[in-house]
Amino acid sequence: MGIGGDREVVILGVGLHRFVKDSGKSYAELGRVAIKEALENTGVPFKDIEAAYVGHAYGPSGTGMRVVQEFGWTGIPIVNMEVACTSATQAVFRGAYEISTGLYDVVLAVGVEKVGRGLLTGVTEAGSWEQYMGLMVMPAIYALGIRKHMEKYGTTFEQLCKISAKEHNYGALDPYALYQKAMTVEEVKAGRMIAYPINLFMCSPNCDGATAAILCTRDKAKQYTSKPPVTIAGWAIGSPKYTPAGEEEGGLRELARQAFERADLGPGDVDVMQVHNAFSPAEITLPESMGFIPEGEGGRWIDEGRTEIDGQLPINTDGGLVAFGHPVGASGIRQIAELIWQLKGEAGARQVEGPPRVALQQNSGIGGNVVGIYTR
Amino acid sequence: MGKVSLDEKRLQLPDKLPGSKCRECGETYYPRRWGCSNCTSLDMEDTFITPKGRLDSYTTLTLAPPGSVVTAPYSIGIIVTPEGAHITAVLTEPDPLKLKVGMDMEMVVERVREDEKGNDVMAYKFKPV
Repeated sequence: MGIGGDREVVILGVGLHRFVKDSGKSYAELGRVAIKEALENTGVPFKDIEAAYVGHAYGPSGTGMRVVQEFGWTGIPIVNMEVACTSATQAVFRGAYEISTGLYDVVLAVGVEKVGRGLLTGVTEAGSWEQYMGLMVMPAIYALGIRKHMEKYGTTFEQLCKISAKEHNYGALDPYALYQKAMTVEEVKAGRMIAYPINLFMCSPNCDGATAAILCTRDKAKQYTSKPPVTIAGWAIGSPKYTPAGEEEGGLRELARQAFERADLGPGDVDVMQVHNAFSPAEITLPESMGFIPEGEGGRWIDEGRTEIDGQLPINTDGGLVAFGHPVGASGIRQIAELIWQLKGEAGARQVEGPPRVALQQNSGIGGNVVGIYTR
Repeated sequence: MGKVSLDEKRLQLPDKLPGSKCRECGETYYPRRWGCSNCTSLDMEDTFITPKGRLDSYTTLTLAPPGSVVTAPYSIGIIVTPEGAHITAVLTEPDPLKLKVGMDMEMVVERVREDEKGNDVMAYKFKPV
């Protein structure tokens, strides 16, 4: 099987705490809302959970335990998963692996985070050169990358604004998103510039949030629901790989290839996608780097609406990180949740026609990229 | 009052950039590396990076993060040196209209703040040649 063991693993259901700024809640208070919703959506009693993986980047030691033990002290293994922005996704993958190999039948995966206002400052050490010289400002890092794309391929500021408007419009269709206000391209253009060409409305905001998924074997799923669940078909995980001078960066494309090989599928099978849009330009650069959009054509695809809900390859049908906000350790399962809803035909106003059968998740963070493939 | 570097590992006064070169594959790094990112060899030699290069990309920020010594608006860029080292640095020219990908840049060393003992704390920026 593509994910390590012999048994097929499904996601029975998901639950979320709406993403909000300054919730005033603890990690446990946030997490328990998402978990309760997942348990209710799936009909799984908490007592049936045999292990829990809790993704978060900034919680103190013991966070996972405090979150899960809100429901009871059943003595199950509770493990924290920290891989920056991919923490929640990797909690899912780890849990799925252990089910596939026969260690457990039912596992809970959680993502939870509280991120205060302002520039994401957890990335520099106090007193470091980077901090003093103002070098590790995330919007600026992304801006450096997208400027090269603009110079090389003619991608325009207007096209980036179109992405942001799409993201906000889709977020407005999702009751869990932080931002639920549709925006026109003109409104986006008027946004305060942060680091050219990235303006305020192209940035995913800091916020609090929690997400949860219940995983089990396909056989066991029938015990809880007659609705067909979604299969975790394959995945790949990687950390940054060095690209020598003069060579093309190929890390993400290789990860996607590995995930497809494990899932026994190909890029042409993908009906709907999530990419890690910490900043709007990522909706061009990430699909290009995986080979879904020919290199340099991302801007044109945006102009032609090819990545919209009714387009050729719908990307971030819920607005992604820009609309939802980015509670770092929780975002991965938020991406998975949208893909689950799309595959099951439960995405409401955001539903892609079909419904889709194969979904691809690309989630990145400081320290790595993951690609996940989900099927119905 | 004396001069001290903001970080000796980044800037050895008066004007040297400490880097590393892998003896096995030849890749050059700034700042110094213990092991080679490219070929994993631990046979690294200390070297100094040429303090000039080509502007690979740049952006102008409208806000300066807390704890920084820069004032907005300011520009940062990535400079690629002849050895292939990448240096992310503040640029002396804040106006993006005066910057261009591919332009030649060179390092300047300047005082960025004063420390508790009254020394000038020095750091580098890059300016268009």
